[in-house]
Amino acid sequence: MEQILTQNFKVLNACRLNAYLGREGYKSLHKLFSQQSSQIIEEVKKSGLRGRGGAGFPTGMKWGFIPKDPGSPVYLCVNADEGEPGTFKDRALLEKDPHRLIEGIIIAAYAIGAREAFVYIRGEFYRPYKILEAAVSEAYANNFLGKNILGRGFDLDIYIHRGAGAYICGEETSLISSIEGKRGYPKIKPPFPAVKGLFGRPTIVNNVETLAALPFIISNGAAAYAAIGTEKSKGSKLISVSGHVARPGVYEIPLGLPLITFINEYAGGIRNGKRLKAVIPGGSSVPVLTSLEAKDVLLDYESLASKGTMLGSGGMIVMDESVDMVKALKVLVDFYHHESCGQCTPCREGSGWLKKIMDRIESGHGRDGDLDLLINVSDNMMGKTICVFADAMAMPVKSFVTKFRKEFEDKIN
Amino acid sequence: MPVITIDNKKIEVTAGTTVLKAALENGIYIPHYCWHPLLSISGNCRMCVVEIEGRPKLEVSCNLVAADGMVIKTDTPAVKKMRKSVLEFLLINHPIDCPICDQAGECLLQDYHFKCSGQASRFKEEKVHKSKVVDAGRHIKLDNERCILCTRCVRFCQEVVKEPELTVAIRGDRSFITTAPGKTLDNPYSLNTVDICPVGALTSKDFRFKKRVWFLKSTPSVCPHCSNGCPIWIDHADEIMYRWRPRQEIEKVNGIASSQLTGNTILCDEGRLSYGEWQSDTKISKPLMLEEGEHKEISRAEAVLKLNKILSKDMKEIIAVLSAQISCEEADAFVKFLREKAGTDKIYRSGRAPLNPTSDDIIRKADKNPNISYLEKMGLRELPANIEGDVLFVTDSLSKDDILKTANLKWKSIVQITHDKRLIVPGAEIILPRATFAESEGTFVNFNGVKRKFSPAFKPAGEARTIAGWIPFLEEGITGVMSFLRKQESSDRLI
Ligand SMILES: Cc1cc2nc3c(=O)[nH]c(=O)nc-3n(C[C@H](O)[C@H](O)[C@H](O)COP(=O)(O)O)c2cc1C
Ligand code: SF4
Ligand code: SF4
Ligand code: SF4
Repeated sequence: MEQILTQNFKVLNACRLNAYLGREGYKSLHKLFSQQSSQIIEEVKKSGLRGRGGAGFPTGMKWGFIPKDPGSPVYLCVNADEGEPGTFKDRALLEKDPHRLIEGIIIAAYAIGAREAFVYIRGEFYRPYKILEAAVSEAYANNFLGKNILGRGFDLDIYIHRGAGAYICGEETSLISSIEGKRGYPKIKPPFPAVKGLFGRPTIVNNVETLAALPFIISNGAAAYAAIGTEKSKGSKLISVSGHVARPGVYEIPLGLPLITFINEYAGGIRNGKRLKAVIPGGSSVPVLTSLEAKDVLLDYESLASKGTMLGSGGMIVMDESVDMVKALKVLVDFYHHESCGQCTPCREGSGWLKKIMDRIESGHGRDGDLDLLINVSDNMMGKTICVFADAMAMPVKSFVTKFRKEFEDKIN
Repeated sequence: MPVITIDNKKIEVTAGTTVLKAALENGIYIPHYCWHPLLSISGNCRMCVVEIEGRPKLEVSCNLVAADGMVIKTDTPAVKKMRKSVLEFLLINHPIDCPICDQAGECLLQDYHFKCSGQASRFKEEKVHKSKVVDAGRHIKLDNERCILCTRCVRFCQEVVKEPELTVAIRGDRSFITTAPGKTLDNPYSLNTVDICPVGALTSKDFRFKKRVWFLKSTPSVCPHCSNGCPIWIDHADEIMYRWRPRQEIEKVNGIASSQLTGNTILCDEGRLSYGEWQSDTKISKPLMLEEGEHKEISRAEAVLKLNKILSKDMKEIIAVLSAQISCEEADAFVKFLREKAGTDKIYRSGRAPLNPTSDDIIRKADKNPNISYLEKMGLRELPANIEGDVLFVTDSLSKDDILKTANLKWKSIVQITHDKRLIVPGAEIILPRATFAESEGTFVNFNGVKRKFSPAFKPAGEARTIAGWIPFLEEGITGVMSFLRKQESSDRLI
């Protein structure tokens, strides 16, 4: 497969404008400015690109929700918050190929009619932030940003906004609240950001990886992109793999790649000759797969969905036979308990309750009925809140307890 | 206009309204905590969920725009189950200190628990502990363990008062309400947060531990503290007022937890706390007469005889001043008496006029009288300077300026009908005890021409009566025919 997102990862100093230009960087802009924004949206629709932030929503379709006559500024927000445990693919893009992101931002902004783009970057990402900041300055200095870009009459400013350490600020409406200077509380929908987003204006929030795919799509055409992947899951995807594999890291795959092929051929297989026990395929928020389920699943939206899980952000966590699933779940539950914004009753209270039960079980003080209670409390959280964080906590709990119930029972008895 | 169906009831709604509002306005009660008619929609409590035909998930009705043809069910097994689970979640970390909580009896946790759940807790862990008895501001104590984080109080300060004094701090189940750095909850409307707090997390220092709410009777009335004339409930027991609360004027729904729920108004702290002024030790319950520089209590008969002495002789010129604190009914009756029986047309208005009166564009009005509009409409003018006459009639009180205007030694007599010794005009010879607005019934017309009725919360103290009630005695004071007085005295003796 042709490398799209990672093509510059091994190029020396690809984060610098000169190196990027030497690799046909910003080439798509000439084509971009010679087309109407509606044609760009069509092109992206045809490419089949879906959001890489986790939800997998078709990107072109989302752009189409911006009102035709917004009558006020439209904003683009770039989601570089990347807080999902196990996910570190946006960081790689930000550090290794920031101009690709900037080029993508220009394309998206042009398509939706935004003159201002806000990059919300995870607070802990200091190095990526400095690199992106330098790249943005270079882009301004060379008129890829600012007024009348390349003399084509399009203006665009990029503001970089650093987060302050809250996972929930990666959720798009919480991200918007945070940029607005408010507490990072997700907002109730409707209204959706495309209608009433940042500062009450129509807004599109896109993930870094989603945007970084755009230069290829515009330069090479939707068909070239759609040729990669499967019928419904088109294009390439970054997988950040961690855990018990020989070569953890960030890899670009064609969607539809068998999971086992990925683990063995990309990630170097399970390390130390151990056996695979479980895989969280798409970031900590998606249901875990047993080794049996993992055997014949493909890394694409549909195949993973058929196994009851999700491609999510592509943050894969591989666990070998040495893993204590109770301990593993406790770590996840601690994380979600720590990160719930606390706004909705079921999530605020449920996250604490789940944590307290897990703490007891893990420390050997589990009680009869605890496992059913874990599942029942999770059910009472799922689908019942302002944002899907509650589901993101409930799904791992339910899947761990259901699929590895014996291990949990042994800990209790 | 869109037509929706809620629980098989067809309802025509205004376009753009939400299902929750439409339901409440049509007598269908959907339990809710975080939604409040004065505030933006937050959607955090998750209590107001409903089922929508053709949609897979329950949705919160507070944020659900009523669309034509929508079929809503508020009482399905799924809805009931969700309410139960929300209540269970809300209570797991709640201290349940109802026995010592002022909110008990008017608490939405208690009410909904009994109405929608009633199940025992499955939570067997240590509860989260948070700060209690926090001094949030001059009038308010905060208990973070009782707080259900509905953010009504935060939104109230921000959106209604535009003083963002409160905020939520920290995340998750450690979240708590606090004052913003460098601020206290001291805006002029702070006590409304106590009303809108659905639980006992915010309590009024003034009311804390004074009375169990189920011992209180509520009487509809009107705040007399300024010309906005806000509708209030007087909450009282044993002839003592314990607090005033805002009173919503639209119909109540289903009776549960009353005025917290729909369309209620707000009160300013100043007005709300002014109830104390009406029950001070200086309250007058018997007629008084000035003797050797002191006001001595006298009987009603003595008062009438004395009035007769004053009024029947040399009654050349009577000047009367009506205070804008008195009701429309009192003003009408008194003016009629003055014109027809006392033969005077020199009738002026006065009222309470503190230095530097507070006002804003929320509700507080600079005119601190509830009935100024009515007296103006009657054509009464302000007192002219250096007014002179033989007898001065004063109802309620005179403003400081008006006291100066009437300060001369030429009055043969000053007669005043008022309820409090502190309001006695210097030199007043006869003082008749007046029934206050809390002890009588009547009407005030506010700055905007809105008429509001008040009812008696309890009987007047001692021999106090309204101005209208004193007129027969005043008439007999003029005519000298004491038949009404005699009849009254003998019937009083019978009781
Ligand atoms: C709790 C939570 C955390 C999220 N964190 C991120 C994140 O760190 N980065 C991201 O791109 N999307 C994140 N999302 C998804 C965003 O809400 C949103 O769907 C995404 O940014 C849209 O961009 P896309 O359509 O390009 O994927 C998160 C969602 C939730 C519910
Ligand atoms: S689901 Fe959880 S994280 Fe999302 S808004 Fe509600 S409380 Fe906050
Ligand atoms: S807030 Fe309500 S439930 Fe809580 S202690 Fe007070 S009365 Fe009881
Ligand atoms: S103090 Fe009361 S009004 Fe404020 S958030 Fe807590 S429960 Fe709601």
